Amino acid sequence: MDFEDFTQDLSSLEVISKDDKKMSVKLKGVPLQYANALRRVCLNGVPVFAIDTVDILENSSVLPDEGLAHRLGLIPIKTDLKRFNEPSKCECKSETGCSNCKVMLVLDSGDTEATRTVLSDELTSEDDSVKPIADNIPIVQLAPGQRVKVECYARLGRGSEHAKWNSANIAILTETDKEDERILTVESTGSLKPEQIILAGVEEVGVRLSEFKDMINEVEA
Amino acid sequence: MLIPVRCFTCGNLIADKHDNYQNKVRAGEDPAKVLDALGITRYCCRRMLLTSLETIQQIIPFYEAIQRRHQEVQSELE
Repeated sequence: MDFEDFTQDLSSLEVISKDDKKMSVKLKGVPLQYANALRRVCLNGVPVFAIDTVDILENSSVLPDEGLAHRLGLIPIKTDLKRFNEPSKCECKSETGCSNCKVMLVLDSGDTEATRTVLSDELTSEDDSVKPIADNIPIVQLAPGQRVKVECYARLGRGSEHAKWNSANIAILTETDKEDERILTVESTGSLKPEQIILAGVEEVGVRLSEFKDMINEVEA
Repeated sequence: MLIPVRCFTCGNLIADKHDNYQNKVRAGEDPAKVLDALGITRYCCRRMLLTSLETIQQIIPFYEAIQRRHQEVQSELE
């Protein structure tokens, strides 16, 4: 059985357990190399949103600019794969990006009267569907008189570029008693649902395989 | 300086659970049980919360003092 048969017949996937973060599926009759390719793609081959560029308008906090930008970058962001394109594949073909490949998030702490923690719910996104997955991620702590004002630009990216774009925390294959059955377990970072990761992963492996096929054909010709 | 946003090893989000964890542990609960209740199962993520020390808490008081002094000077000038 090759990968195309597998993608046409998704009945070979049997869901063992599923919740909103973690999912286990049984892969029947899928050769080990394809199953492993799928596992690796689930881990870091599916695009998700993460903050990539940060314009610092004001930062008088004790955290240096790069520390602040790094923390912002690591915040997992809800991703809608249907509505957005990766900047490299977007029709706008511009470096600055368009509304289909870039989302701006603004963070302004305002004047601080008492010491407080700036949380991720203060990040206001220009797109309602693209926002941090949790509201109470501490970004920085401010003393009275300190202020943080930043503009962040989130874009789709892949874990192979930077770990902040990893779609899954965990993706493992476990052997079962039967020879042609394996269990794929995927734990999402929260940006995508685990089933979305697996489905997008299957698609991605298909695309990569056909690209590889084309490459081989070109070499032969 | 602050609790890291994600686990260094697996990339799981942990920072959002830190406040809750800290409050419960300070109230005298067993850290292992709190971590279990928060759904942090892997030991890579557990050590992130168990071993983090927020040094920002030690620095902030100095900036609070600076601000207080600043206000004192201002009021004296007036």
